[in-house]
Amino acid sequence: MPSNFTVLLFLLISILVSACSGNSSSRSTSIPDTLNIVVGVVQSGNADNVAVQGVAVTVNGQLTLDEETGALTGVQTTTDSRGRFAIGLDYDDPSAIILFARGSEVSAENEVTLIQCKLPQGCPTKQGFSNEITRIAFSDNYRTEYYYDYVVNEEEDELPATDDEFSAYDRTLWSAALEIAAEGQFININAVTDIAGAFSFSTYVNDGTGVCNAQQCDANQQAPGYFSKYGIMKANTQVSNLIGISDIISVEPADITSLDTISATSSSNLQASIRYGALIAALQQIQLTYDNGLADRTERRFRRVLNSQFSHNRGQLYQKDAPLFYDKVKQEDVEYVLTKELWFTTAKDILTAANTHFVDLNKVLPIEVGSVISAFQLELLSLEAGKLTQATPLISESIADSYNNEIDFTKAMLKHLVSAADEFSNPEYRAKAKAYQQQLLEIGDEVSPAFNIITSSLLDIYGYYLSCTHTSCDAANSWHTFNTDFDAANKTLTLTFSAAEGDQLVISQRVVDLITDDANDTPTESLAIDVVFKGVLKKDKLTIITDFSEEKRGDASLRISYNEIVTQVMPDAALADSNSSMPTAGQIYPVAYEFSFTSLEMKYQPEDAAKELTVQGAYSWLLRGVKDVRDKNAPTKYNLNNLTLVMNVSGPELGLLNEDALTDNVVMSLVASGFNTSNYYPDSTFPEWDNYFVPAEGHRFGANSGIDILETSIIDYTFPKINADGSSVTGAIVDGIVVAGKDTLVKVLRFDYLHSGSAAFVVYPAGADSQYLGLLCSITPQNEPYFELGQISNIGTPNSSGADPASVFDCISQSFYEGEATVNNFINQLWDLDPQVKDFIRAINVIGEGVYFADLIAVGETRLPVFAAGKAQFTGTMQAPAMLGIDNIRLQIRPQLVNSSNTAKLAEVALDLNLVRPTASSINLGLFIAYNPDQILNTDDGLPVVAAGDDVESYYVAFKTLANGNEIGEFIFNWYGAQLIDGGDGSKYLQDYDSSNPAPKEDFLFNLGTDVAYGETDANAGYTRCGFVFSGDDSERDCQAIAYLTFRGLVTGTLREEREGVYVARFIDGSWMVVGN
Amino acid sequence: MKFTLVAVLFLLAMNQAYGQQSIYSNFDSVVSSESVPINDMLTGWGGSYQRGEVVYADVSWSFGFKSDLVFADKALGQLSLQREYRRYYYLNYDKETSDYYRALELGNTLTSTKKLDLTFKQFDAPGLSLGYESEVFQLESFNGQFGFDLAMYRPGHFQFGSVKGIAEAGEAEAASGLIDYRYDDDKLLDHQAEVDKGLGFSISANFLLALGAWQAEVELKDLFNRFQWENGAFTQGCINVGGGAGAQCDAEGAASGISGQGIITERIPFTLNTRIEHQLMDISLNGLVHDRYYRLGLEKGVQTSLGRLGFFLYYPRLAGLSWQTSFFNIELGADTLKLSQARNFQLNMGVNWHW
Repeated sequence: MPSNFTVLLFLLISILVSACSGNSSSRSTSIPDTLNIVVGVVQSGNADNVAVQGVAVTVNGQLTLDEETGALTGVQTTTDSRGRFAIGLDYDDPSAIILFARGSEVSAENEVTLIQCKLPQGCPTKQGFSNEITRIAFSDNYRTEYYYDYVVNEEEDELPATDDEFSAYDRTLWSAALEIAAEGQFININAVTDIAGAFSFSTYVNDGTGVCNAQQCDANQQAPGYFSKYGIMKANTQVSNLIGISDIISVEPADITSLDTISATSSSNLQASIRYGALIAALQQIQLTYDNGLADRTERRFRRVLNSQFSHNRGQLYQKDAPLFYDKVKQEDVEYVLTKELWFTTAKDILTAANTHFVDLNKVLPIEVGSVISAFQLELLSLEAGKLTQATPLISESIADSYNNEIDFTKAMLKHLVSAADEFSNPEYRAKAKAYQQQLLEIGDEVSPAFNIITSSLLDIYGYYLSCTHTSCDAANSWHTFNTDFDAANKTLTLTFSAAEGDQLVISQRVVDLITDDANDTPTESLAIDVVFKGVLKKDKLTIITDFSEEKRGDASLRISYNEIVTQVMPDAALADSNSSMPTAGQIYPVAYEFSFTSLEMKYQPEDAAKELTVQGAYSWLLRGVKDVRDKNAPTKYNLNNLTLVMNVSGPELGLLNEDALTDNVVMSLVASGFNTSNYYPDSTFPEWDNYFVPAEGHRFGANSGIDILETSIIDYTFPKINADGSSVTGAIVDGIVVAGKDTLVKVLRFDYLHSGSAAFVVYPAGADSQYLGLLCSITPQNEPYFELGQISNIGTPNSSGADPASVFDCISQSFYEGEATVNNFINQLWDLDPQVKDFIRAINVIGEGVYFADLIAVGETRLPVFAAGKAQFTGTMQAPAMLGIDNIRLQIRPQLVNSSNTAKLAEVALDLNLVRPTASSINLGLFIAYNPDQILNTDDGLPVVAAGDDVESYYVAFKTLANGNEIGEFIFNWYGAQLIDGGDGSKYLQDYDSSNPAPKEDFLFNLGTDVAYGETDANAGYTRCGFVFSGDDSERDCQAIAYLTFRGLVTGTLREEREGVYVARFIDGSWMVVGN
Repeated sequence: MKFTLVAVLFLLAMNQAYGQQSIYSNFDSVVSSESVPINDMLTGWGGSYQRGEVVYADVSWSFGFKSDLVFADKALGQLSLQREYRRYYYLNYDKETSDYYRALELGNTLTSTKKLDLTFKQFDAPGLSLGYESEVFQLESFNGQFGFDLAMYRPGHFQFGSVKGIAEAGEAEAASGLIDYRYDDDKLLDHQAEVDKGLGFSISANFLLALGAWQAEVELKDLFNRFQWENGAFTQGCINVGGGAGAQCDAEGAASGISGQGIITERIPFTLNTRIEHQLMDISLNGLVHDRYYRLGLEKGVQTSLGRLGFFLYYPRLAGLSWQTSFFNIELGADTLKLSQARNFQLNMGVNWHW
């Protein structure tokens, strides 16, 4: 069966899903000015000091996280002793809100959050690690720890028997999802709302099981993995319907412990409140029973199991006698933790017991308690074995239609984006832009060879000039015929091209005054020399004027820096191969070349005047020399360190407007820089365009280092004596720095990284308590000679710098450990801590190549080898290749074109690209394109986002990769004056406003979010980036990247690469489309 | 209730002092692929090719218990209960569709417009079946015997569906068609669906008539069958990749449609097996029909001191040998000795321990 589609990704998808996020500032946790105070209750009252946090749902249907910590972020408050809370939610925020109720303290010792026992027979609990059941009396409070779900970080809990995993669980008690927070709304957060909240994150958005055809389908559709307002509304109303309550969010549940004092405005309201309170209390009993049956508290995950089973059955419960449920985590059949029979029976029994309890106290309960008990009894009689409930959501038709409309908009926009290149702006502009682009390409084809000749000519002139200054002017050089004067004393060369005035080029040099704070402003020697070009350089139809400014102040110069003091520009070793005139004696590899053309003009004057082109601008760039760490004798090669370019490209005069010449012109600005250009030894002497963002030859992901990059050994050393707290008593270890004063013999496992210093795993002898102190330290290459001598400080023979003595060791970790006090035991204990420590131990950065993982683990093994005292060498496997890269690029282009009749300027187009890309797979990119903008709105960082105007069309794409390997992106599309047209087959499409079409003229502002997650991280994969944009670039891991499609704040679908090159958009109504043609 | 009935019947069967009982295990497979060798069906259509319309495979492994059923000293037939695992695979397609797929696989261009018409049915399922075989009875001057078998399945992996459309002349990747696809694991795109195992049943029947040395047997396998998944996944839609003027449907993008989960009910064609045998000559004429797949053949047996040795020859091309004893049997047939190039293949093995 054919399984491949030819997919042409639309114009922006390649950019779009590769775009940046200049405006992705983290959501502030401070309370905004426009507050909407909502109030509510946790559980059914008397849940004391519970932390309540409101977390907004992002445009991508995900919870808002703090960018730095990864924690949920949002306004917070705590409940009072009655379990009540008030919280301010931003009513201007169109996002859905998820409210979380959590334990409010961070350590077991300080736990103060308390939950009330709602069970008349008392609450049997096994608190902490105890297996003893303690019975909490009716209405007494107890710690919330019992309700925590231990599933979240269970993998990180290496030793569940110890108490160190207190942070290894989710402190969340319950949640509630709100599609909207109305002012003054009453909100419940309890076990029932938690079921609905979880269900809304994995919800089914359609009802029924009718027959489907290619256009529509009535069957329920699962839309897992994101919150949508529609999904939240559906989940809340369906759960309400399931339990017979009008609204689980706003109906206040009765506090079973205070049944004798409750009241309501009507009997039906009171019954609803009692019913709700009883059902919440029933869940408390069911959870306690479930958890008490577990031997190990770390097995407790009632919330997760219940929510998983509930979502699996599409928001339904088995009425009674449920079949077994296949638990994917346990990989076995388990029993359902909740059926309607169990729930309602328990609730009924609780109410009956409460009635007895209060009667025994001579208190009278409302008659509605009896009514609710009777209602439960009646409902229990009608339950069918093995059948699911048939709870239905309550979604108004208008809301459902509205949501379906948003899906139509999203589909129409996707289709528009597929052909955006053909539909951008309007036909006249597209025709002109296309012709102009073609003209530029043709000119480029003609100019490029000439420009290359100019470039090579300049270098040739430079070599020729050096021959003049160091030997004699090379008569064999083609420029020698233009040599009309060489002033040897001033080292000034004049090339004259014709007798016309100014038709000459003068090359000279000057020693650069690098020490500006002394009296000598005209030094005769320096580390840098400027070679200055003045005048004109002509070649074929191209003329370069080194300084077009009227003041003639814009010297064109080439600054050449050396690593030794020179008095003049020296014969150049890097250019020797390409320049036969270069003197052979005394050649030096420069440290850097810095070009500076502050007022350069290029004129292209072909016979066809229509193709005339003038480029005026300022240019500068710096090339930095790099040595090969593997071969000190290898030639120096050069990386582009920074580049600045501002230019105005203008064509011939096409007409006049108010006596001003009309010309097609483009204003362009480019600023680019590299953060650490010395950390890459390129393949070619000078950088070429195809060198960027690719690893050097032989250093791709997974490549073997080919040489030993790690040498291990175990060394005896003396360190400061320590006391029982680990503080030194002779000498000191202060802030991780080991200072002199040695007394204790320690063992050091040295990781000599050969190219970048050493790591030292230091183990003290075991103390009286059988614990030993272990330190993880690093040693710089400069301090390694002192380490070899057994020193603590860098004093003594190797220190010739005269600097103040400092510690040889820089220790990042110090702690006491159990077990045998050996370096092998110590490093294995570190190894087991978490994946980051594993990476730290085995990661080795080799300058110019990248980060290797030392091949410590033998094939088929998972443990470290036993390190011996003698030296052992290890090769490495490349994990994060270094890239030749420009880290930051800002490119702005403003084409200003003349209309087809050459009578006026066309509307302006603005293009703005901002790229931060330190490595090939780490990217932060923003791209903005606007047609006819009246006003451009910027982010806080000054990057354009949306253009406004009467006839504007703008696209903004933001994309970036996060430190954890995930990607987020945002696309904003603004189109004033468009129409959404019915395609006749149920589909819709966007078009420019056409007055003859009855569809209304509309303004569209789309916001399409992409939030790409990579599935579960693979701890063994190390550097694991792979995904939507950089799929498989530098990892062997299989990715499950997902982009979320949102429109006007509503999640409407997802986008995934379901087959190689096949991107499929799946919408929440079950429909799908392969993006592309 | 069902279990109780089965238990009673077997207790009845096992308590017979003089009845014969046996434990057996069988492996039965018939595999045929018209267009390309069976191996290429799994790895790609890059090898030898001929136009075809059918791919069929029915493979099962069973282990069971069989016993004479005797009541009040009267033989009532035989009852069997067996556990089986079955893999079923059936593709029926237009010859032009096979041309298209071949071109797609090789990256060739199409010289003419091709019709896309493909129906596929596939499932894997463990099962439990209860069988009954009657005693021989008199029917006029004929001896007769009948039997039936009820199998219950818990099918896991399944794919059913069809593709109907055209591929216009030119690039083979340009195609247009309607998809109707039901599955537990989406092999076309990657619809993320969690599908529980289904439930299915199949009723088979057989009838035998004998007159003197002549014997005729008819077996109707899967005569009535039904497989159902409560939350099966489905995708329906239109592919329109460069479909041009002959596009069979309108797709948004390269393809669009609807996916979801719901009750999926499927059936497979029955299999008709016939055999006419002259027992004295030990020669038989065999026929098999499964929807569009059929085969017809002859088998000649020879009794040896080591058991019966058989030779069989079928159309479409398949030749083989069989060896049978009272405890073992094996049949192996193929259309070529080079099994990697085989288009037709048959392997039946069995062991039967009776007492």
